[in-house]
Amino acid sequence: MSRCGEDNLCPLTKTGKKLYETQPMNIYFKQNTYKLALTTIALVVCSFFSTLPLVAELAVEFDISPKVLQIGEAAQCIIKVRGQDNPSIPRLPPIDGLQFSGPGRSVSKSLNIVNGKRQMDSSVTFTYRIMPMRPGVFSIGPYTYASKGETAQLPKTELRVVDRNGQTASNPENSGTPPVFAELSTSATNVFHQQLFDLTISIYSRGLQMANDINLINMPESGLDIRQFRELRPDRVIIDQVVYDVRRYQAKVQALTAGKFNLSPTLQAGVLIESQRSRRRSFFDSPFDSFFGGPEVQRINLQPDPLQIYVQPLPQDNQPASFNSAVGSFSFDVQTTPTDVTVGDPITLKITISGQGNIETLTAPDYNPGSGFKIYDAKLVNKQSDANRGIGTKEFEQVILPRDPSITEIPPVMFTYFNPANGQYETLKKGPFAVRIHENTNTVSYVVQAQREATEKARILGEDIVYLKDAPDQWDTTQATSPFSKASFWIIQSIPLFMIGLLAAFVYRRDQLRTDRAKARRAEAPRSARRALKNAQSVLGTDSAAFYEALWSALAEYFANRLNLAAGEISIDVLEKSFSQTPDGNELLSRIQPMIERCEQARFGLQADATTEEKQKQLDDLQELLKDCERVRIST
Amino acid sequence: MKSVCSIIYIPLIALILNIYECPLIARTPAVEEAFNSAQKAYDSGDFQKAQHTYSSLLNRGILSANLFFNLGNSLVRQGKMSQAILAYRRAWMLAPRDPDIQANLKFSLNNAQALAPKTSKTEKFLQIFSNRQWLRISTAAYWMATLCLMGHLAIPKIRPVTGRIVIALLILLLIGISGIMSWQSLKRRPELVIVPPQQKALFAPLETATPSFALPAGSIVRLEEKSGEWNKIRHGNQSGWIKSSACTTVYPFHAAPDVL
Repeated sequence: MSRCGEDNLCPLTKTGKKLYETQPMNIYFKQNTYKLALTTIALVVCSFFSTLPLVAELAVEFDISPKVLQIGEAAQCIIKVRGQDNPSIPRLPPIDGLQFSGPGRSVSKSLNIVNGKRQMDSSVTFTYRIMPMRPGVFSIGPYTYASKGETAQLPKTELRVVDRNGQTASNPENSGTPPVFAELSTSATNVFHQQLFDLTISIYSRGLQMANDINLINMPESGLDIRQFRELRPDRVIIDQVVYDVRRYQAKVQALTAGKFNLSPTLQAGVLIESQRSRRRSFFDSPFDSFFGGPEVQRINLQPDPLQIYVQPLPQDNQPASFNSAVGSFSFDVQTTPTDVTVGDPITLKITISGQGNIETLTAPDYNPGSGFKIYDAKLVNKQSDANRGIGTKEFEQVILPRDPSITEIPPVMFTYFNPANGQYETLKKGPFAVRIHENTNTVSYVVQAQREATEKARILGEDIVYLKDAPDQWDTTQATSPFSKASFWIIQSIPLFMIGLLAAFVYRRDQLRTDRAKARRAEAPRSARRALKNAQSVLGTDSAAFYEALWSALAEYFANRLNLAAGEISIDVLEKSFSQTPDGNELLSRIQPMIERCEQARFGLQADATTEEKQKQLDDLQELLKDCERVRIST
Repeated sequence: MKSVCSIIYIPLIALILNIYECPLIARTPAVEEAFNSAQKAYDSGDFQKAQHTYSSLLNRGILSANLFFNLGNSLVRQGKMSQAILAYRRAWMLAPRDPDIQANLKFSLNNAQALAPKTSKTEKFLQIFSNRQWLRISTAAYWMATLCLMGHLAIPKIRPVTGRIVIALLILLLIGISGIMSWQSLKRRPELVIVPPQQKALFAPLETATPSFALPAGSIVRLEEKSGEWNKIRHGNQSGWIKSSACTTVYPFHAAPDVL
């Protein structure tokens, strides 16, 4: 039973090739959950397949596990009978030193699909329990099993029983043997590019209880594609007269490039040891200590012997033209539908490739049916594969259109793969396929094949393209540059932002003036002075009284607004006080004072009429004076 | 104030849009004549002549979705599916909502059994409008938003209304800019059309590298990076390397005139 243990699948062992360098590979176990799920599925499947015919061919598998026992332990003897629905119970003759009990009986059925045909495979498993009574080497078998007139041979199997120390009598000390070590092995060390092979990690331990999580680090980061690890059935072996428990993990590895690979990984394993807390228990210890004080995991690093793998490139000599990078062992089938068509009608070649190898990267065989056919690119329509085991099936659809009614057959399809087992290229050929092609009476037919989800129902014949379009109203040019690369675009786009900025400033000032009366009057001061000066200018040569009234008004209103006072409050004393802290205030006051005096004298008739030129000079002086006042800060 | 804005601003927006939307080549009789002659050749079954006429217009620097569409039709009629897909995809870039272009592109992809382009839902939404249409929408939204913002600032009475309008227009502007960026991304890392048949994407940029996945002729994939004469392409979750000579970029439109 070489297949033993392969069903113990680890749910997650590897997340990616690069993780080996930075993040260790974790292996978790949820066997109970999986067993329950598998049992449920098996029951449902068994009930469904119970109606299918069985394949009647007697075959018996015989195995004992483990093959090394200590006194007080039991082994299982498994006899699996295939090909008969209700086979006879096998009887094992008594052996001195061993006690047999049982057998237990279990039935399993499975469905195999071979070339599209369903075949039922049924097996009945008888399980004996073997209890050794003394140490020694016991031979079990060979036996002849007979059932319903058919017979089968059960091979001889050895069972080794050792004493409770785990040591054989010939070497009772064994002080030099390590308690735990690891071993790395591959199914082949000389492989071909793209070949899939097994990488097995074995952990040997004696007298230790190993934890479930194992980390593998320092694996090559490229060149080898290591798939998910699975745990094989635990075993027990004798090395140098010492009994070791063996736990094995296996993964498929694909060589992605040719060259030499040196595997020297470090294996981080955990050993379960009794916790300090549970060892020091006393009467006063809390009862919860025993609940939380289970065994602790002690991490240890194991360094298996390095392993070198040589990856050879695929041989270039005699490489067939139809070779398409497939490496492994494959079967190949082609079905054509329909076989009675009109010229231009599509014929679909359904190409199925199954087997073990680089199925994930497998592409459709290159097919050239000749000038008599129009050919479309093959399309993958179905894929069922297990990347971790490198097995699976791919279905491709290759559509061809016959062009000539004289065609009677479709040329054969060939699929070549490289078989690493014998180091040779093997070519599988299907066809030629007989077809009947009728003359086409229609003008044009087109093939439309929809996406994979609706391949069958969306195959439409006769669909056509939409007719030509009229000349457009506008033509563009291929030399046109993107507007984003033009400065004018960005300048124009900045205009609104500039306008918003201006408007915001205006609105802010307006609001300020609306709420702050002093500021509003300050802003009004030059305007009011300008108005008064304009009036003075208008009456310059005609009305002297009105002129000086206007001059006074300009002075009074300007300073009243600047100082936020009433116009009547403006006097020399007030201005002296206001200009007291102003730089150059005295100079300005010395110019203001005669101006005010002159205005008052003229207003009250104390001064003779001045000439027009004198008035013009007074007007200009006042303008200059107000301009100078506008430039200085006056305290209010 | 409001009327002044309406009088000045609305024509200004129209002017801004027009500056960047005006046809760069006038509708000349020579171009019209060539276009019509190609249509006549197509109708008479001389698809090759039609193709050459449409191609000559493109070589003269004239550009239009209708021109690419008609070129695609003349290529389909000659069975040149991958070239037709290239022409239809270019037409789609100029007029992504045109149902005729979409229908003919889908027809060609199905007929060639080629891989259709894979885009996310967001990309599909942002590619409802063409780059130019998004530019129009964004510019209009931007100018309208600034107009409303000015009204919002200047006329306190209308602030409750204008505030919401400004927010809505700014959201529209944001979507428009996203649309433009989506198209810009498609121009920076353009789509590629596989022209020769039976191509395979490889795991590495080496002739002897392992094939990753098959690329039927006419498949539309996305360029990821360039390395010498090799292009790293992506289609959905799959990526691989392919030689530059085995594919043609959809954008710029004047690239690979010999293919069309």
